[in-house]
Amino acid sequence: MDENKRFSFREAITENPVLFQCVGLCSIIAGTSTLKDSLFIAVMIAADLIITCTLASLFFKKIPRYVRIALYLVIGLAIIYPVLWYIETRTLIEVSLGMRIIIPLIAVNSVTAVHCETYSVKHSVGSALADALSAAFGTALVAVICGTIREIIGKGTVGGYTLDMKFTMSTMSMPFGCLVLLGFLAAIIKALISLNRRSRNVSSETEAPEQPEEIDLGIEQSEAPETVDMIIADYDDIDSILSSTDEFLRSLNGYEDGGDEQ
Amino acid sequence: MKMISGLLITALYTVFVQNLVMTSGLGMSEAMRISPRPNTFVKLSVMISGFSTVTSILCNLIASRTATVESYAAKALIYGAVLASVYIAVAFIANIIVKDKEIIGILGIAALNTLVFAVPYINDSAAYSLFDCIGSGLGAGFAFVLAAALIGSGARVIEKNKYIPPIFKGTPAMFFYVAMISLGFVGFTGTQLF
Repeated sequence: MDENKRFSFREAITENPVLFQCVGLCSIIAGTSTLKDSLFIAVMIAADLIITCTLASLFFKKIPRYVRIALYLVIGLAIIYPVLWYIETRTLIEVSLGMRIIIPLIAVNSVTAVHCETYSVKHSVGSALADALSAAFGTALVAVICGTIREIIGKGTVGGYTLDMKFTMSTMSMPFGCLVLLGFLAAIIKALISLNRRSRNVSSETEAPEQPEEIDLGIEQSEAPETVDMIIADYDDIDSILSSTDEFLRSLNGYEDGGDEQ
Repeated sequence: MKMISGLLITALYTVFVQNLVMTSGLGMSEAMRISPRPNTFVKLSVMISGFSTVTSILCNLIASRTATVESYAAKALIYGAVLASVYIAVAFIANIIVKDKEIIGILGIAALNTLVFAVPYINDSAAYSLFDCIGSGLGAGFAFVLAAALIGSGARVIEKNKYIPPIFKGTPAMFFYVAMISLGFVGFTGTQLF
């Protein structure tokens, strides 16, 4: 992996933790039925991810792994407790009962554990922070998109303001609605990546028509494996389960085709 | 007898009627990522059952011996501290006795996930007795097995299906499939769907 990693909008989209790594799904599914809740969840996840990854990179490199994992929970609770306490003592802040249960669950969010274990504890603080920022931005973006669409279709409102909707679908407020939205978002991003790759291939063909045919064939053969392939692949140990998407993401980003990373 | 029947009813309710993975998305990430490996998810489910049962019992005992804690912030601290302590104790013992890196790795995923952390909250909001809490804890593990088995079997079918358009292959198709199962489970809860 790149030691001097920088925040990348492209990475936040193409390596989205929720859509392609299937992590942090609980907070997104349970906590994004309205725009307001989703904004809250997005901010809390981002804070937890950025602070925990930075601390993990600074102090946790020599701590045994099983202790580190418990420390992520402790840090998460240390971030979340003051927020929950503030919400409870300030009656002006309206947070639903469900959200008061969902917010503490961010402390055991798999996005944080996966990013800390696969990246932060192996890299410098700057790189870990950049990785955390990318993951946080990607997760927050998905949360806000899901929250907005679910509130509009599920309740006929957006940010609490009533819209003139002819019909609403209460199923959108259920996990079903969120999962369907996640499916469409993942498909849209895959389509955009595919279009981008195709246009790059076309431009490289027009710019360098003298390229031997074997290289074209090589590019065809190095198509990104499907995510399900990646999920089904045999893992040697539990580290591989946590970092299971590396190979897929590398090919998705065009690393193997001489993409941006090279 | 009444206690045992309460335990069984709560367990069955947690697994089938209100499958926490499918109706609330708790532990969904772990279920989706582990589901293609039956051996691993069975081990993980046993551990989830263990951790959620022990955590439920301890949280129930703490709640019954102390003044009723109404604050959600305080509850988060208590449940988090109990869960972290149970995990560290089990992982420490496993590190000395078992010394199997895979088992110790799975322990972390099994203990510190949203499903296990949410069980004490559910027990508290439903005002479960000690035996109900045990049933709820055991049910959480079985609910995970059921969800992971359904997701895993679906993933294999989706993987082989050649008629799925390329952009929907992979996670998009998986999300749609899990959404359908989720809708089915929500139907069991009696919630009005439309």
